[in-house]
Amino acid sequence: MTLVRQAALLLWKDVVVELRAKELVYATVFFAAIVILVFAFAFLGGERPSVDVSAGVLWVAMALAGTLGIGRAFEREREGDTMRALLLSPMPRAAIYLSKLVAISLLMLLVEAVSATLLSLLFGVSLTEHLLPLCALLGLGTFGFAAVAALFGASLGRARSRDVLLPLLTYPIVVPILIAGTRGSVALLVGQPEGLATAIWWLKFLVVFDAIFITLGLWVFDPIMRGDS
Amino acid sequence: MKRLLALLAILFFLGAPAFAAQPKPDAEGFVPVSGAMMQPGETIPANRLVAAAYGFIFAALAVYVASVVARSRRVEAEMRELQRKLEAKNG
Amino acid sequence: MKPRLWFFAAVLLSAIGLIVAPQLIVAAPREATMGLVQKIFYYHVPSAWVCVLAAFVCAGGSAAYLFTGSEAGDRVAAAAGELTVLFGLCVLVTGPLWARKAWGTWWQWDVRLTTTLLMWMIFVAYLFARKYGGPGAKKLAAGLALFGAADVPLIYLSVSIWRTIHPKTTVVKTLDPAMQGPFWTAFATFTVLFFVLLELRLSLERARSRLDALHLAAEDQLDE
Repeated sequence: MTLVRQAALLLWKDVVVELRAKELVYATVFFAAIVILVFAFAFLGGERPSVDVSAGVLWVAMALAGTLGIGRAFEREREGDTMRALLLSPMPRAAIYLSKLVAISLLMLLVEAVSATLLSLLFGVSLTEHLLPLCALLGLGTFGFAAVAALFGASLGRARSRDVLLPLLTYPIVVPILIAGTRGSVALLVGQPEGLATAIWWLKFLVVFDAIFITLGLWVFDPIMRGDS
Repeated sequence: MKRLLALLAILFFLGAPAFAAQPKPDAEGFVPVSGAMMQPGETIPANRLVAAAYGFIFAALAVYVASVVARSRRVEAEMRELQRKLEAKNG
Repeated sequence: MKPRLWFFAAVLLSAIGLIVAPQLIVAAPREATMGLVQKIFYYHVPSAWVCVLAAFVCAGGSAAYLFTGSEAGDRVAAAAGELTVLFGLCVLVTGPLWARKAWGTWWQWDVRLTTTLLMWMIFVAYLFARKYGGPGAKKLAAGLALFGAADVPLIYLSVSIWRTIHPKTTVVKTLDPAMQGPFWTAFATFTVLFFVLLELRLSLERARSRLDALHLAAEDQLDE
């Protein structure tokens, strides 16, 4: 399993860099909190909004904060020209892709933990009732999102309008994941007896999509990055 | 890499049966109307909708062909310009 | 570059089709419950078919470009990507016009509609990526096209997976004999039309790459 070890090594590098700078974590967590607050101001004027709205807010915050963090992470790579160095190194491209995928997922999971807590405080939804399936939904959703965003974030490295293009390219592709995540979360948060079965169906949907996206990502990452080294 | 792909394939096939388990649709089809061709009170708006639909498709195709032709002309003009410059330089 | 014989034949065929199909459609029987508005079907479904066909051609060309570096593959992908957006737009405009009458609403967040819109947006993003992606945009766009094509089977299956108000794909197989003629004429016409437009767009793309080559050659000469 050398590929996994190499990916873990690269992941460790990213984690150490981020632990020293802490820029990404602070920025994205704060941004996600702001997004949720903006939604709270918009929706919490009168009566309490439905569960659909709360679940939607959570996933929208995750998508927005995720794109922000990913854009910034690759911007940092570009400034130091480290992505180029990585691509020139004898590391297999698949390991580079996997490490980026996991690094982004870790960042986004952290953001989601904070924003879910904030959401339960502001919107009054109970997260603890089905905590485990909810975590699974968020985890799988994040993984699928990161699989697409890592690919495009890395390959947009030198495009002039990369800040605009990253969400433009990523969102249409990951919409199935956002739909699955939102519908699954709604089913869990409403608290109906059949909710768990619905959520599990959406979990399976997410597994299929993650498998498709990660396979495509691994397959395509190498040829896409080939000209750039 | 191979093991990873195999793992992903397994995940895919584990999840895939979920789709198959969904209820199957019943067969449906369009039924042609027999007898009176006009249904009172529906012809005019339906006419407009159908006309708009067909009009849009023809317009879209025409605009697209025109745009491709215009772009081709521009490329050809640029090519002639370039050749003229080259000839002026060489000749 | 001489336009080939098959191209003229195809232009002729699609022209005949475009004249004959509307007449057949006008003569076709009216549908019992939906009435006249069901006639949108004869162009709506072939547009959808061509849209999917173009998406697969685009993905095929992209795959060829990504994995073998074929420039011709990239040109095919560029041309087919534009056609996917064009015919997708036709589907997305004619659909709501039909729905207004049949369902009483322009748009419904139905699975089939949502996934079609999604695929269309992916290919709009593909065109964006090609135009504004900067260096390496072609490869990036090619990757995007593969993701877009991965979405297509989902669209096709969506109608059998979820309960939906959109007519099922089986409607074509069980079509009334009197409706078969006009439908398949329109279907064939659109398919031929797709290849005509593809070739037209490809000739533009070929002219562009000749121009680029000429520019490169001219730079050397003019700089001397």
